[in-house]
Amino acid sequence: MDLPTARQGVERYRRWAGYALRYAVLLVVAGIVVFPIYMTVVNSLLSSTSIIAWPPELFPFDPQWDNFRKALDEVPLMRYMLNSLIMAGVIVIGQLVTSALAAYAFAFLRFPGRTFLFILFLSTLMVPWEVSIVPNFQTIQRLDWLDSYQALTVPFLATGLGTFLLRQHFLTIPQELRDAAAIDGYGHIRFLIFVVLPLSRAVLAALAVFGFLQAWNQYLWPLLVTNEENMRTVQIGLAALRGREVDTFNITMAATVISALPILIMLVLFQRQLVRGLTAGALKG
Amino acid sequence: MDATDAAANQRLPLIAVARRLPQRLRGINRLGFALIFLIPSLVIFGAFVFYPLLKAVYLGFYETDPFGNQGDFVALDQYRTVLTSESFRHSLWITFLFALYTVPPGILLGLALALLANQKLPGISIFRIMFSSTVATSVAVASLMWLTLLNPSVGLLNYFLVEAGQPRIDWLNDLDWALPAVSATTVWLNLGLAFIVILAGLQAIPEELYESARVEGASDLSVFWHVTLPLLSPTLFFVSVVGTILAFQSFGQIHILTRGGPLDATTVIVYSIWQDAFQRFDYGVASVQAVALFLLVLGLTVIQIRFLERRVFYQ
Amino acid sequence: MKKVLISLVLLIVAASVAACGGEDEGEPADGDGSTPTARVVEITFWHSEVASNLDAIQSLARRFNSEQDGVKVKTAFQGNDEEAMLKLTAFLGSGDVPALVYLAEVDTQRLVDSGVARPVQEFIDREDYDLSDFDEKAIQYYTVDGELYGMPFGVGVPLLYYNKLDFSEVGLDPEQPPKDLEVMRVFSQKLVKRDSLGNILRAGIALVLMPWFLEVILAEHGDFYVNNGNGREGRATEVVFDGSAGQAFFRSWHEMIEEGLAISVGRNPSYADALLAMGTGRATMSLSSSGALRSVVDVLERGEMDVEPGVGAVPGVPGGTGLPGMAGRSLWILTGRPEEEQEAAWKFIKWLLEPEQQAEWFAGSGYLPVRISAYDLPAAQSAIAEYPLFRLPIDLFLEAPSTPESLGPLLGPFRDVREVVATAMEETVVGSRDPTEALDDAAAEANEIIENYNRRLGE
Repeated sequence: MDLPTARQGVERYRRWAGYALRYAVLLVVAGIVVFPIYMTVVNSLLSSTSIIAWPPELFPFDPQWDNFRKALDEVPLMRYMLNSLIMAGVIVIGQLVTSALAAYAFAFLRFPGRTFLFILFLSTLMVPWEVSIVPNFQTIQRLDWLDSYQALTVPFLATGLGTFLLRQHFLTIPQELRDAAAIDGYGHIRFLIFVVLPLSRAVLAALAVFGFLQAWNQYLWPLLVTNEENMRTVQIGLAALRGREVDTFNITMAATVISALPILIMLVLFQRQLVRGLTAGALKG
Repeated sequence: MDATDAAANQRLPLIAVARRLPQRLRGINRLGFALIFLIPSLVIFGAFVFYPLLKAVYLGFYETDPFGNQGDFVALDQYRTVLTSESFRHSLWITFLFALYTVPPGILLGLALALLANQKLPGISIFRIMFSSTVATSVAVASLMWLTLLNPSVGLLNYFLVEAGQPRIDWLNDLDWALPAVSATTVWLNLGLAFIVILAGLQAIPEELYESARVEGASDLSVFWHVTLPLLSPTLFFVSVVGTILAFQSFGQIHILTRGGPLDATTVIVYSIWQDAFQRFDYGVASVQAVALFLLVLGLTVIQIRFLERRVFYQ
Repeated sequence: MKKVLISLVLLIVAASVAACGGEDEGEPADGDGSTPTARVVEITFWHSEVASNLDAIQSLARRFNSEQDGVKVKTAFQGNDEEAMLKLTAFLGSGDVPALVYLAEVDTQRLVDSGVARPVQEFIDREDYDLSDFDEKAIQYYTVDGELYGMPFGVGVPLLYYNKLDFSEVGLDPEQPPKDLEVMRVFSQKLVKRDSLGNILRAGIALVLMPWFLEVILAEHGDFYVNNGNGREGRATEVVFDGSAGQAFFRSWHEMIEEGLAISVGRNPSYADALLAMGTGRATMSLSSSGALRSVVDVLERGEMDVEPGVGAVPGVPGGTGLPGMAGRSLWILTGRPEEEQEAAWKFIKWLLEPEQQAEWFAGSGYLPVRISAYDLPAAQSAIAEYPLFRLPIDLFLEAPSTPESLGPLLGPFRDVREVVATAMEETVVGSRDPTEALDDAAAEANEIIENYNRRLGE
């Protein structure tokens, strides 16, 4: 073991300083991004009087775990979350299937009217729901689907956004891959399932996360098409807990935290996909 | 003109068409094959997106009775009065400002976060989860969070102001601050999604490209300009197109934070549509605005696709 | 990816199984309840109550269901007032409406105009149902063309809340809230605190730009809001809120802001901002309704804040009655359901309006009973003992006259007109616009809206 020379010391110091700086920047930025969420968790643990204290309380020194029990007592939040989970799960799977198919056509097939159809798909994002919600409600009613999972899911089984997202990714897959696959006797469907989709794990995960969130956070549509307690979803429960007065804000926040838990769990699950999904070698095929 | 000439002229395109016929048929064939992939989506869209849209176009030609039922046929009168009204122009302007305040800052911040989180450091995945955590909040929840933070009496932002010896600002009731405050909420709300998508894009860039650029002695900045940005362009294109479309549809945060006020300072078109449709139950007037908004965003998107996608670099 | 997908699928399957199980659990109760003789009529009751009020309404319905066999009430929360109305309108298109809905006063005339409501008057007349124990004005409030449409159920009065400690601090009598706008101004001059730069540290009052307060001020002063006896003698064709009382009110609020005596908390979408301003010492007084009283006491008085809340009538234009009238929700029977369901709904309404349930509802929600004898029942008495501040709003409610002026307007496009008034308030308070101009313009715009509504109605 020999003594490090002065130069090595400086080098090491630099490396450590570099690390420290990077972590410092990451920490500060993360702190700013997460702060509103942190405050929600804090608020969910405050008493109804300390939640409006001045100066605002930044840490729940006397956590009121009872708030969570109250939130669960007042509305059947667990049952609602179950419904939301079923709804969001069905929507995610449906969207993955429909948009992977459509995106494949837009990225790998040449056919007349491709641009037109693509813009048609995109245009589905531009119709304000404020005008579509009532006609859609009437459609669901005519189908006699009120208070059913079909009503909650079918209108959302396709997504222009997801198709666009996947198309963008599929376009980065080299044409040579398709050619090579064709030589191996792969048809379009097999190419899609065995080559394209595995290469798109990260984007599929992003799409799944996004579709899940959108479905999970739906409020007005489920409110409109359900009446039965056992068909209602979590956001309706949150609205029912959202008191008009100052003294229930902590309960609202507790319910909010409960309702966000599945999403956070999902985020942690899929995070690994987002991180590892596409490594350097994956694209070379 | 000579009759034979005319006949010859007519015949020529016919021959051309006949020559192209097999090509056409192949085209139709290809379209048919592509439709197999597109049909599942098209069926859903047809029933739940395009049917309501066509219905809105149709309802724009009719007055509405006070209970939302279709009233008298007024041809284009309703389109004309609504689209030329002062309030429509105002909400159009607010919508434009809102898009301007939310889309570019959202992309830049999302890109900055993604670049930060794309470093290879131990424990980076924890930061990735933190950066994407805003997606865990719904519009309603995020708006409630910000409502508390922005509250003039008990909000933290005002606490910091008071501590710094500044007068309090009632962010959401101030004519100048309301729109920026709502926009900031929106940027924060959408940050997680922009981050996830851009990070996924960054991850897709093959490591060798960076390495070979560095071997050639390129600086970090030039690697960013000449390797990262071009390869990220499909993603950035996506984020800007979708971001713009979504900005034009933003409703929930405005409904909860300001209800379009103060003095219509935050009344974007969709908010105005909501008020007409569900406070006045005037679906006719709401439909006219919705159709106008649809065409406007469609136009913008086509322009973006025409001009932006040319610069997009697909591998 | 595969693993995650598989686990997602498994989760959904498991969840579906659990969900179906849940449904089954609900079934046997029905089977047991149906005896061969009496068939159970099930009705759906749409409401907009949240948080603790939701508890109160659900436990009332549960108790009703357990106390008799003929009717089973299912409560369904339908979002806030706006969302409930949206949903109702969507359902009206198909006629598939619930038997019973619970709606705000703002929708009364529009619902009558829509022709889907069955006046409870029909049941009252048929049974000679005794209304003598009911508060007269609560009944008159929801009476249109001589027929009672919705049964009053969730009513309250507007209130001035103030901090007695601040009053004592500046030498005002803490038991004497300002009785009109002029006095409120004088008080505010004493109460206001500024820093060296002139920024307001404590304002006299935190103003809420809720259009309801214009109705309150006019009712208190004995003026009409719309013509034709506030729309109660015939359909309203124009607004008259821009008379001298309305102008004095707008001017007063405008000047208090301009002189730095008051702060505005805007439209107050969360309902709590004015009270929070009071709780944190930014203002001594604020405006809200009697419905907020319990939370004010619980949080501001029993919390760690320097507040000892007092209540008073909303200060109006000098020379008024001091009685600012009422507002609130009522129960509506809709014609879309079979006759037996309408009868069942009426049965439930009658039960809810019994003094005992009225007292329970008051204790559970803070809404004021409309049955006079309910106030003497133990449940109500103990609620008043717990919150003695309730005495004043109860008096204000019971003493307010049952005149068309005091009852306030019946107006089809009421929501739209309120929106116009709110904008005018914003213009003059936030935007420093001349109050007379703002109110005059609002009146003109409101008249256009009314004319347009009446025309679309085909009258």
